[in-house]
This record gives sequence, structure tokens and C-alpha cells, in this order.
Amino acid sequence: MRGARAGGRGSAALGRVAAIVTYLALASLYARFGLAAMAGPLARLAARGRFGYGLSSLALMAAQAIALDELLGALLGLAR
Amino acid sequence: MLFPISHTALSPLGLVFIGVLVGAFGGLFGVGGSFIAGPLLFALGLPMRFVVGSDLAGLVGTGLVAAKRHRALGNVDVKLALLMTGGTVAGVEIGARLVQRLVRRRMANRLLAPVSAAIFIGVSLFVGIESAVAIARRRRGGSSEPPALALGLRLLRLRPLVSLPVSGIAEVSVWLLLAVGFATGILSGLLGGGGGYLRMPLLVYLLGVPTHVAVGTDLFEVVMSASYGTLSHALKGDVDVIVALALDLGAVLGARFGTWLVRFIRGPWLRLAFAPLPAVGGAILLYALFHRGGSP
Repeated sequence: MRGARAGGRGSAALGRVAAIVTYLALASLYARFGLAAMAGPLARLAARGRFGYGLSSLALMAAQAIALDELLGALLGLAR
Repeated sequence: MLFPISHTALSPLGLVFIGVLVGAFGGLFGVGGSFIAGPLLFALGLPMRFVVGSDLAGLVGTGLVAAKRHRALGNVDVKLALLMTGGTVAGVEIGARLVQRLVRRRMANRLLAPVSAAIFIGVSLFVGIESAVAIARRRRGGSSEPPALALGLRLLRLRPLVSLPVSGIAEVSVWLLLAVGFATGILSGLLGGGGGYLRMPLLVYLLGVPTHVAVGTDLFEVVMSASYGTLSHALKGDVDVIVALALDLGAVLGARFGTWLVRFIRGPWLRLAFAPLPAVGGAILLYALFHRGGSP
């Protein structure tokens, strides 16, 4: 019984490590390709130096952070 | 990878790594992590004016995630944070205008970096000594919170007065809350970051807010001040949002780790663990300044 519980804890911990590695792999791919794809349009928007660039920056930061946090939460949930 | 807004070549994975550190410190100590992110971004090669603006943009995302988690733990005093916001916003705007003046006079790097380093080291020394004294007092069986300075300041009856039940404060002057917001806002606008490296200690020592509530409330305030700062710096052309997005990738992971860890550490020990970090940031900044010189 105790062995089965310890085994369960071990596989849950392994699952969490796998979830974090998956997140890091996805984040690395996004950092390498996703950000590069966005660079051009955002640079053009920044060059205009207007209020829209500030608002877009805020919206992008909030949207990305919430989306990634939810993704990480879902991955950790799956690992459990 | 070339970041076309700041015209700087930086490693995106290096930025993600800085983000992990920033997020972990944010979740653990309730600070935006600019005392580490700013110096590391500067050392990585980002010009100081973009360090300030982009770091602020990055904080919006990191702070949002960490504040959400602390709110769930009951560590956020929303009333206190909202009352401080007026002072914070005024301070951020004045700080951001000062940065513009320094950039025009080509003095941004030469002046901002040493001033930041001096403030970081000063905060480290103060928090380190105070928390060591608090731990020693607790071991002797004495009460540790709130500090004597905070109790003295509560005697100021400058109206209007408010009560902050979440922080365990019966009555405090609104002017004191605005002053704390204003002081940290100026530093936030001037040196980047959310000003949490100063606000968190001020909430504990001046207002007597319990450390864990100070951590959560500070994060909420970081989001407010960083959002305003991002908007203000973006109008002045000082934000590289691609750099900020890369920082945030790692920060989300770090913030989860930090907010998980905070549950296991007691107040004075949390402050003692925080103490050396601003000084490390100051040392990195001085090192980078020494090696890169003082161009704006």
C-alpha cells in the first residue's frame, strides 16, 4: 500500500517535470519563431510612436501572460 | 536575433532566462524583479532607455500572473493598493519625464546606472539589518510586527484617515499612503521596474503591513504602475515590446514557482532572503557600466 502511494507520488512528480519541460520547449519555439514573425509589424507600429503602440503593448503583454499561465496550469493539471 | 524596435541584437533565450529569474523573485518577494532584470538587460546589450521602458512592459504580464495567484492566497489588500495609485501615477510620470531630459542631454546611462546601483545597495543594507534584528528579537520571544516606526507614524492624525482591515491597520492617514506611492512611482518612472524593491520594504516598515500582505499588495500596485509607465514610455518611443514579450515567457514559469515557495517562508526570513538581491543587481549594473562606458 505504502509502496503504491510512493509510486503514485513519484509518477506525479515525473509528470510535473514533463509538463514544465513541455512548456519550456513550446516557449522556446515561440521565442525563436513566433516573436521573430511579430517583430516587423510591431516595429512599424512603434515607428509611428503613438498611443496605439502603448495600448497594443499593454494588451499583448497581458494576453500573452494570461494565455501562458493558463497553458502551464493546464499542463500541470494533466501531469497530476 | 535582431530586435528592430531598439535596433539591438539579443539572444531571445537569454531574455527568457532573465524572465524566469524575474518571475521567481516576483512571486516570492512581491517585487517586479527590475533590480535583477534591469542590470541583466543592460549587461546583455540593451540601451538604458529601452531597459527602463521594456522592463516596465514586461512587468505588466509578470505582475498580473503573480498578483492573481497572491489574490487567491488572500495576500492582496486591494483598498490599500488603490489608495496608493494616485501617488504612484504622479510619481511615474515625473520620473519618465526626467528620463527624457537625461536622454536629451546624453546622460541617461552615466547618471541612471550609478544612482540605481546606490539605491539598490542601500535597500539591501537596510532590509538585511532590520530583518536580522527582527529574527533575533523573535528568537528572544519578543513580538516582531509591526515595526516601531510604523506604530509611530500611525499617530499622525492628518485627515482623511482610512482603516485597512486586510492589513490589520485600524487607522492611517491617506497622505502617508500617497507619499509611499509617490516615492516609489518616481523611482519606477526614473529607473524602470515597478518600484517594488522600495515599496515592499516601505509597506512593511512605514505602514506596518504584514510581510505576506505587503508582497501581494505590492504586486497589485506593480501592475498598476507598470501599466501606466509602459503607456507613458511607449509614447516617448522607449519600449521594445518584443524584448518584453520574450522576458515574459520565462517570467510566467518563474512566477508560479515563486508563489508556490512563498507559503513555506516566515515574514522576517522572507525579508532576509530578499535583502542581498537588490545589491546583486547594483553590482551587475556597476560592472556593466564599467565595461560598456556611459553612452546613452
